[in-house]
Amino acid sequence: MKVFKSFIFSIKLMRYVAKIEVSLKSGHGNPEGETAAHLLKELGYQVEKVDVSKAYTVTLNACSSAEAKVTAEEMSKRLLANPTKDNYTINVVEQ
Amino acid sequence: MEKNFKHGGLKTKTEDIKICVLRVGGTNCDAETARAFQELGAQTEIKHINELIKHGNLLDYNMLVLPGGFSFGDYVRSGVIFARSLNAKLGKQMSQFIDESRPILGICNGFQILVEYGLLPGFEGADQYSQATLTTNIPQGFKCKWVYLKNENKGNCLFTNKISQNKILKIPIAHGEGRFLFSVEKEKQLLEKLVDNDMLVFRYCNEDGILANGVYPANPNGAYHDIAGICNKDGTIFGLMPHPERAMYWWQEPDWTNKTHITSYGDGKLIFENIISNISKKQ
Repeated sequence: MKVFKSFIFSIKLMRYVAKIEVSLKSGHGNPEGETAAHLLKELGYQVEKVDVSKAYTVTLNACSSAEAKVTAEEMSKRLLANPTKDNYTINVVEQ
Repeated sequence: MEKNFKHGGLKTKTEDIKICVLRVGGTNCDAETARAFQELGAQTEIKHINELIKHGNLLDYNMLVLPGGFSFGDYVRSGVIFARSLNAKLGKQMSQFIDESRPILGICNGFQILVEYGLLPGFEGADQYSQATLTTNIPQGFKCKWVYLKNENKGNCLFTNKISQNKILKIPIAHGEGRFLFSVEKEKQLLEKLVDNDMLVFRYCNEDGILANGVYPANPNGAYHDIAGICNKDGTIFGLMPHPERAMYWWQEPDWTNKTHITSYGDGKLIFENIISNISKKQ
């Protein structure tokens, strides 16, 4: 028990920031981007295309950067992205 | 209660049917939905999810309804937070509810919740990750209008099996994210599965019943294959983007003043009536 306790207390949790960017897969249309591009053109900008994505900055505690990335991956699959229409990228940095 | 029809499930007298209209912050149309079922003689309660967790049990009800609205402000994606919350807090009761073939209806945001939960289409029961999505309308924007729906179900869906095939229903929509999609790589294969298992229920069409073929305004949101409503393989879980509770009475129809003959009810009643008659024990 003593060994177990000392093992638990020896695990040092670090703070990480996971930047998760969720973007639309191609082929599903991009109505929001097209609407924005249309208006930007009307405003006089030489715009070719607008792609829309959502960025989540998640601050979390984990033992390592690898573990933080696995956790962020799970968060993306379970909540932040819908695999039918979304791609996502994850970038983890120690804070 | 006794075991009923081919789908299993539980039958009871109409006046003993208990329906739970489940709400969270951001839900709307719960009162209209409850009123529609009460009109048909069923006991209907509007329950907040926290109330159900603390003082209730989902299994006290014969049917669950997830009404329309903007649950949790539609943050992240429409319906996803309610879906995950329902799974995390009432997952066991939900599984038993589904295993016992008790019907579940999802209207608009409720349909989005069922899709995000993985219950629709749910080819193999509940999918871990959703195999479909209801996303931003094309053309973009919130659409609030009356649309026509064609019933293409051949009798599997418990919510429409007494409505004749190819019947046209006039029911309004009110959503900004109702474009039904499968992933591009699998869309043909999944559509085939949907049709083969008689899970396709409503498709958008024009007044004469000609399918919209993806063209606005008959197809108001760009939905793939003009899909407006689907059910699961057993026909017990049904989701649709249009709002049948807003087409329950004659006075909800926009053009009633021009009519020479006014019917008592609107087309939405057919759906509520259908499911009530399926879970009612004949006396």
